[in-house]
Amino acid sequence: MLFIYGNALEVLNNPDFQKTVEQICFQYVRFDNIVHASNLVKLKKFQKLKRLVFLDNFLHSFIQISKLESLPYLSSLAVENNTVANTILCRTFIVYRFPNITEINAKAVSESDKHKVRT
Amino acid sequence: MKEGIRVGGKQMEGTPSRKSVKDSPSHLSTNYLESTPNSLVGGGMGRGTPSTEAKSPDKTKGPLTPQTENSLSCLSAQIPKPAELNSWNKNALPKTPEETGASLLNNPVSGASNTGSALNTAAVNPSNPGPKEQADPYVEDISPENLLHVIAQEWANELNRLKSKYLSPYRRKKEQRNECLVQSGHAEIEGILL
Repeated sequence: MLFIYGNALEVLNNPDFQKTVEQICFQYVRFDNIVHASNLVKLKKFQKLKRLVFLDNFLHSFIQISKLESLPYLSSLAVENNTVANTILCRTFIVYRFPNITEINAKAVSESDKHKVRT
Repeated sequence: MKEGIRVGGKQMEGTPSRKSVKDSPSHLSTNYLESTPNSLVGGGMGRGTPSTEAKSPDKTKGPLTPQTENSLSCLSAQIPKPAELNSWNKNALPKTPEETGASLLNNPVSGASNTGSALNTAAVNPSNPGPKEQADPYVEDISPENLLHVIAQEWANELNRLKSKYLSPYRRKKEQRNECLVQSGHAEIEGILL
């Protein structure tokens, strides 16, 4: 797992990390910077990336989360210490928008979650 | 603290550069002071060359008054002796590459700077410290825990700035990406030894 704190997004350029890292935790990094086009391109190079953890990222809207749709291999997402995580519909939105994700905040996506989204 | 490889980074703002050391008054020539032990140093506080007035005082203005001579003797007493200046220079000058390299070998992690992209190669090959470590004696020794505290503090400031900006009716439509108060950074990877 790769931990990135603050102004250290340049480690995403490391080709060794891009080959091996399966999980990345971003803390004290603005979400808008993470999903900026230049960084999103780097994230796409992480061939084994399955899980992303966001802590303290000034993540405050669902639209911001939807920028992660360009990472098709993502199967787990964790959002903590962000304003959007306090909303009731956050989990529902992620289930609706990311059908490939099977785990949200360390809790598996259940059939009832999917049913709730459909209705 | 998580176990893993530490990834270093950029030099923080305010870190003294080699240029600033060269420009400091402690690099005054000792020979110059020996040649002018009792004369005034022109050009400001310890900088520049002696003025022409100090070398050849204007004799048309007549002899110096006793008060002026008294003040001049006080000033010359404040000029350090050459031996004192040498000790100052030794303290101000950076250590030799051998000394800094030895300290890096004793503590390889301390050679990593607090932000950036360079891997700490001293831990991989302790017998051959990298040229960057030899050349830069101004590497700050800061533990990851302290660094995270610094980043957290910077993030708190950034959050306050963002909240005030978003609440302000006069906010700009588009913000520059580099407008961020979090300038420090740190990265770790666990479970993989590269």
